[in-house]
Amino acid sequence: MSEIPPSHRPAEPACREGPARTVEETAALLRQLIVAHSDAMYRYAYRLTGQSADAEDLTQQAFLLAQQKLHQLREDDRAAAWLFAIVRSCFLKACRKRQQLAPAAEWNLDEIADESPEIDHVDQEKLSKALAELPDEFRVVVLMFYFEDLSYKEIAEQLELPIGTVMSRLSRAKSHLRRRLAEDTRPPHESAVRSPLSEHASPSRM
Amino acid sequence: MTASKSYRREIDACRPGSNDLDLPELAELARAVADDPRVAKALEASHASDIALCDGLQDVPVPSGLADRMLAAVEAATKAAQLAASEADGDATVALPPAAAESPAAPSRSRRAWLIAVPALAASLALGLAVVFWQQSEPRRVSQAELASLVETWYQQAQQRQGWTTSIDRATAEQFPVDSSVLLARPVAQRTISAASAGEAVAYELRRADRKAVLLVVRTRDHYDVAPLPSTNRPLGMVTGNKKVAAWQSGSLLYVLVVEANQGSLRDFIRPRDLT
Repeated sequence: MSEIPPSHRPAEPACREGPARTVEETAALLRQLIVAHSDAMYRYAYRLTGQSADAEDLTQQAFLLAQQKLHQLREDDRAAAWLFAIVRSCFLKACRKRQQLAPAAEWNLDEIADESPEIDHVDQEKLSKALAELPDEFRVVVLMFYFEDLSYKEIAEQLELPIGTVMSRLSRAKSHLRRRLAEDTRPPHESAVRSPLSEHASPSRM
Repeated sequence: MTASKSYRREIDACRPGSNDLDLPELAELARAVADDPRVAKALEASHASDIALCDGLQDVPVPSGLADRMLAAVEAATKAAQLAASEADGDATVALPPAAAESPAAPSRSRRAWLIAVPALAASLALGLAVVFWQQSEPRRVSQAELASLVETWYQQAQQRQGWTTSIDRATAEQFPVDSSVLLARPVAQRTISAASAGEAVAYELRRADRKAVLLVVRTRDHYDVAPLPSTNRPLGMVTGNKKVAAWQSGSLLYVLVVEANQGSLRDFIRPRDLT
């Protein structure tokens, strides 16, 4: 298993030195970023951590880090992507610090790839539970796909992982979510079948 | 489904409304989609699930007052840093032996204290006034329904022939930048539009081959209830006519892409962000 590397740095997308700003400009920009992006960052943080209190802590941590690194933000247009990367980086750092990255074996994809139940309605409770069942490495990848709108290739670059690993994790994570969300449409005996991922369940808490 | 099974991993890697099928790792899938209707159907179903999942993941209630708490936290951090800096500065300046510092005949310390205290007080006052001023002119939160109504007004202006110019002037391009990593087409014409209290605004005409779109860019202090990144999966609803609208806000810039149904689709103009 390849772990998320410690060398992964926050805010890679716009990490080079940005334009020189006065103290007032910096403060104003930060306020703008908070007003414009705090909701989106919180939503991302909530899906990463699974807890509202942890999500708010993570969001605050990310904005405090953004405040320190604001000089690195070169283009306001990329602020959202930059902030998403900081939230993710703070989350991964917390995981590493507390050694909570769950061991995630690379299961044989064929075990879970032969069905793809369609989803027309998302039950929030089931979704939260299914996300919590995912090992951190899988949850991060699938949330980067859905929240940050990154391609598998970009995810691989950001996490410094092989493309094949990212594609596998993405497929398994999505398969797990689809399966869990579709369970209510199945007969009870089938719903009770455990996902291959569930035995490794270890939702992260900040 | 055997066809989709063999491509499951590739299908799951492909984002709806993206050009991911052009990526080398998905070339085989792209060929299979073209040749095998079962694979094409599996990809379509996967994208439908992706859209539902993406919407479901975004559906997170945000605690009230979150932005205010974030602002307070960074203000507090700023003040703490300023205080630490001024204390460090003061310590370096003082550098007196304890006996001298305790001596009653030490007027220089008193002067130093005033020299530090007065600007600090003035700075605190200015900061307080700034916070009060900022709070009084707090940006509004604008719902999607309100935005849809605004878009109708802005787009009507953009449809008038007069006012358009085919040269994109530098000042406008700098004030209302178009991120080429987000959009597949460059502006070929521009005109200013009146966005009233929403802020300053400009309309760009985008062209890509025979397809055409209008991009409205509004510089605003308000916070619109739209995603920070454009997506073809979640077009803005509640707009009239046969147009598709995607809206996103990046910092102080609100972007609204309008494509008439007979002139192309959103995915003709929006591409996955290239962050590298």
